[in-house]
Amino acid sequence: MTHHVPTPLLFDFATGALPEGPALAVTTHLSYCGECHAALLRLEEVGGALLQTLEPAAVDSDLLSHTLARLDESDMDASVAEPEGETRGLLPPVLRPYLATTLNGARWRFAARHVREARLPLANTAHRASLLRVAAGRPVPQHTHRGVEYTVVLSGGFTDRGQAYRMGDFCVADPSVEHRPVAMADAECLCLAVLDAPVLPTGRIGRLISPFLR
Amino acid sequence: MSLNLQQESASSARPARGAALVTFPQVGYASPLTLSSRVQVSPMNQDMLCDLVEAVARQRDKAAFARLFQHFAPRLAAFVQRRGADPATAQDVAQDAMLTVWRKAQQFDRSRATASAWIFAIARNRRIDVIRRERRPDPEMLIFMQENNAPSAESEMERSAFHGRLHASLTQVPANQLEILKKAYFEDLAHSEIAQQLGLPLGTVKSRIRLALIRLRGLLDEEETP
Ligand SMILES: [Zn+2]
Repeated sequence: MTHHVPTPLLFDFATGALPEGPALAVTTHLSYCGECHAALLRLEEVGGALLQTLEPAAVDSDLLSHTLARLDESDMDASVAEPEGETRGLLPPVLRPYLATTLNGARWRFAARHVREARLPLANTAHRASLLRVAAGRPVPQHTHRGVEYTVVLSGGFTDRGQAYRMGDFCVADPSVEHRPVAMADAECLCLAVLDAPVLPTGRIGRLISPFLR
Repeated sequence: MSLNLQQESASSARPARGAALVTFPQVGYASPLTLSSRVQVSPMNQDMLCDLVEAVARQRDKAAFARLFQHFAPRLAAFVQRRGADPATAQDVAQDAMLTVWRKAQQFDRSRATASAWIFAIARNRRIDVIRRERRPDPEMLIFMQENNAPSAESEMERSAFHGRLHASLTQVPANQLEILKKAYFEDLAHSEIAQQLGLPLGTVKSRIRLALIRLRGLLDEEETP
């Protein structure tokens, strides 16, 4: 693991402030990265310590008895459901609730030359989250961003601006970045991409980016 | 169980607001100059709270749950009210979070988190779910293919020292940094929103949070450099 979640972003996730889309990118990276997960647990300790400093609020005197009465009806959860089929097992558990089917059964649409996209339904539509498949050795058409783009590699890898991104790596690109990521030659690259605004095609073949991504 | 429970409820005496709280008597070096608000600890320490969660997990101990509830539910209600929820909603979220504690107790691992931090994360997720109608994964869903699984590598001693330090050093965070930490954790505000609300440049907010985290030793690598 080479490329981690920047601390301010991890902090905003720990406090709960980060919206659903970027939060999904963060938890996807954490699914692969024990180091950032440990950093998150330390930031949650700050939350726990601050919680202890709060003046307790008044609660109804019968709240405890009402809660105790409900314990038996809300008994132990079964642990996380097993992935259905190996293609779905490729995906970290945090992504599985967003995909109703297997990976191959998802609705893959043309996004750009060599790029297929499957949308993930976010409750908060301020962001757009997708799984992207980029053919081995092929580029994503050159583009820049109106907002911030978060990418997490799920399998395969890509190179971008002289850096290599492999499984679990976290990549941030903001409007100052104009780039043309290229999938590594040995395998198709599968990644999660979260955008807060459409990308702006800039290259000669930019017009080949489908209107979905614009 | 119910007999036992009554005893517990009586002996752990749910106090009126704040009555059972003591002000850091054992921490002599909390400088009053740097305290923007009175920092309080409850008579129950983290080890006891962790024991209670484990009793809930292993024995389905309702008396232990009741003590956790008495400690945390009023704080969780306060926590949700700070985000702007009305008292009734805050109480519902607190109850909901405590029911999650009951259901998920087996996932609690004291080698990774204190009871307070684990329950904070549960309540934060419930708050997001109820107030913003978004979902966040349960903590155990993050376990997948992690490299460098650091938390379990720390010894019990190191962890306990870290938490002791964290609680003590919270009292030493300068007021202007503590204000921002509280806005972030209690009011659910991102860096940029805090900057807007306080009329400060984003860079100032970033650096105050960074300095606060450095002060809370062990949170950032730069801890050694002042
Ligand atoms: Zn990382």
